[in-house]
Amino acid sequence: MQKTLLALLSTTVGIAALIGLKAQSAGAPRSALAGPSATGSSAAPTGGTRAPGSAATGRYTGAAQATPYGTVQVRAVLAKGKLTDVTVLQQTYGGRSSQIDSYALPILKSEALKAQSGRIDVVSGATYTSDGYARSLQAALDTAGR
Amino acid sequence: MRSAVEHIMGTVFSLAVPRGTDAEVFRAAADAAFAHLRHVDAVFSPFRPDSAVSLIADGVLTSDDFDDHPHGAELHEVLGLCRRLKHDSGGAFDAWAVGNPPGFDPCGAVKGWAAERAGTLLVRHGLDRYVLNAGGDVRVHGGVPGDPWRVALADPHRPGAVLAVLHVAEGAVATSGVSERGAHIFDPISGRRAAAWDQVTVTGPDLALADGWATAALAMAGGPRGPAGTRGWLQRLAADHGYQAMAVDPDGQVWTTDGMRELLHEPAALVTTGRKG
Repeated sequence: MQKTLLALLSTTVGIAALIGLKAQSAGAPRSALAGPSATGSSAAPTGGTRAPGSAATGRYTGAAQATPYGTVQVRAVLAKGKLTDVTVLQQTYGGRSSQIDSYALPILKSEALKAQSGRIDVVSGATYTSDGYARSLQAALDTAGR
Repeated sequence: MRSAVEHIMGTVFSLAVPRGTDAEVFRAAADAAFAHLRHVDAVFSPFRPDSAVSLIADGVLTSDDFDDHPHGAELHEVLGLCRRLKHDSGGAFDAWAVGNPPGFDPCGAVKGWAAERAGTLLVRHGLDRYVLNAGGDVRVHGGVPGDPWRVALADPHRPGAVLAVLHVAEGAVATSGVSERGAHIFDPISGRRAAAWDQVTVTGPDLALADGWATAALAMAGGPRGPAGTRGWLQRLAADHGYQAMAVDPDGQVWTTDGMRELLHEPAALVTTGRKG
């Protein structure tokens, strides 16, 4: 669990940084996401409600991480060891938290799901528009890890 | 996974196959499938004034003309599907009463039907294992019981989150809902927006039927029969045809047919579906 959480928080910071990179370079977000995090950050779960156990339940807050694109901090919510939600607490550069919500969280959750319950191959849901697709978990699957 | 993505019919189609699939076989199969989907869009789009569907809606083209029409066989097939869905659903799905004023629009049936046909083309071009996502409606092929495809169902109340994961070796998983485009489905009997349920998923062998029935159930639940009558209808579909269903209401409460539970592999996720924020 500790390992998963560490990986999760680390992934978040990496994705947040990459989105910062995307906004800077105006490149496509998906190409940036294919590669590993450029920051090599080492986020650690500190200040959580308690140390994650094997069937942890609660909110775990990652350390605020300085990245080239601002300070990033995330919180993971676990129920009996399962990730149920992720929120971005801090992302100071340019106030792009909404972009992080729309792009990073689906990717993050897809990665977390892969880590905790094996891969998922595809997502069925209400029919999305082309714009909605860009924010969808399916888009994350199409671009991440393939 | 090897994947390809195309924007067609106002949505996005995603195709994925195992990494070991031959690149040229994959490319040729994907090209054929996407070309077919673009062709269907040209013939059936109500947004193109010169499409066959627009001509039907305007009364310029009738089924008597189909035999001489270059795409008459496809038109017959789609109209037959629309008639069947209207009959099955007791009018909750009615391609002849879409919008205000009511008019002919088979959109609710065409995408699933087209994706099912695209899947047939993929097999014909040599793909023995694929997953095709038609904007949220999924057709998988070539999974085996020990290694099925894992189809996540989107949580209608938490963008990017997963409600449950279905294991499906072969067949369709179609979802209709209000989370992406708002309450766009109307019950043709009452004329009201369908709002009793936020999302319906239907899974079974054929994507055309699964998609049509999911759309019909969403409309039916918002109509006079309400969620209780719709649950009964979905249970009958399960008994008669083997298609299983799941519905999510605006409070995040999940209901499934009995057989659906055997396909669910993330039941823990179901306890976390309460609407947030």
